[in-house]
Amino acid sequence: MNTDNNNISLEDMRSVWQGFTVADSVQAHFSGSTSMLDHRSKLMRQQKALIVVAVMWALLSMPLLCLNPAIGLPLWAGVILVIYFVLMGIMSIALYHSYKDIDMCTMSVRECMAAVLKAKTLRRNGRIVGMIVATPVLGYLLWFFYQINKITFVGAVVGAVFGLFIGLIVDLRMRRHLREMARYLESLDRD
Amino acid sequence: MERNTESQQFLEIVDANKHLISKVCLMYARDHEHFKDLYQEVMATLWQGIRSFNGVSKISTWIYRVALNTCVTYHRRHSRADSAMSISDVAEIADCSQEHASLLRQMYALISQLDPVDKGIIMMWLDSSSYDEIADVTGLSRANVASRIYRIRQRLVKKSNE
Repeated sequence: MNTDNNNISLEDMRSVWQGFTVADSVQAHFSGSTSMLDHRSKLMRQQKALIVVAVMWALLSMPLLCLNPAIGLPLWAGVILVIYFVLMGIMSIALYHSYKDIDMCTMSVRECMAAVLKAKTLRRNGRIVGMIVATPVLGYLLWFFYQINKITFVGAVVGAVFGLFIGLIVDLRMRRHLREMARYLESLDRD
Repeated sequence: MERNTESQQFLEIVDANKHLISKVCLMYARDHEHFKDLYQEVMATLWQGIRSFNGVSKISTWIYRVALNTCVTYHRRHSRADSAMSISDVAEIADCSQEHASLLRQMYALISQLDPVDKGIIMMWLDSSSYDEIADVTGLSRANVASRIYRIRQRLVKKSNE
């Protein structure tokens, strides 16, 4: 076999390729349940969709509500809306990475549990920040639309209820995925 | 129940082919962390796609297809100028004799210069996969695979002699 530093034949390469294995100490061992993969993938997918929605609204809030003469929302309210969506976008990206960090191939059960807990805490904090910023903005928006006329106000209320309903469903789903993951890991830890 | 059986089968398949998956990920990884990311990504894709595996091709061919597609996509999405792992890292990761480690370093140095698709083709060729299997995985025609392998081999030999 040729071991010359500057020259390796294709046959040598073939025997090297077929002969080497990745060291056990380095090789990622997949010991996690496949359902964990399902939950993780779904969480990441939903979080990705939320990032897109946040970015889209951060870009569209001003042109749709402030620069549109039919609505004419004050500039400061538009700025607060943009800040809200940017905050939500940043939080969504952080959450996406926290889900991505739940690595069943290389982490121990305890480490996975810690990663799930971290994601749960981040999510809870994100929701608190979101509510603190969103509640006064939503209140102001409803009051603003009430000032325009009753029909616009009803439209805004319907839109808000519809939006909250969708948000609630997404939130419940995500909570369920995290709960299932935590439950599975706890059962492994007990074993 | 059916889901549990499917899950059990999947884990058995993964266990039987973990060296293949690891080797493919290693060839596309930038460092240890990236290697772990790739491995996790390939696992997730394999699990999502296990139901679509119809048994027409060999399981190793299907795993090659998924692993290569995932690694190439991941590589394109996160491409950087210095995309190859350092050669000392490769030797550390590989579990082989001293003599093989030296050859492995040379092989890695040569293969890491190829573009992601050519890398996949030559990996399968080194693994003694047939042209038909490589064509099946890459979606290229058999003739195209043959000519690409010829060109890649020429290139590797030339680089090796430089």
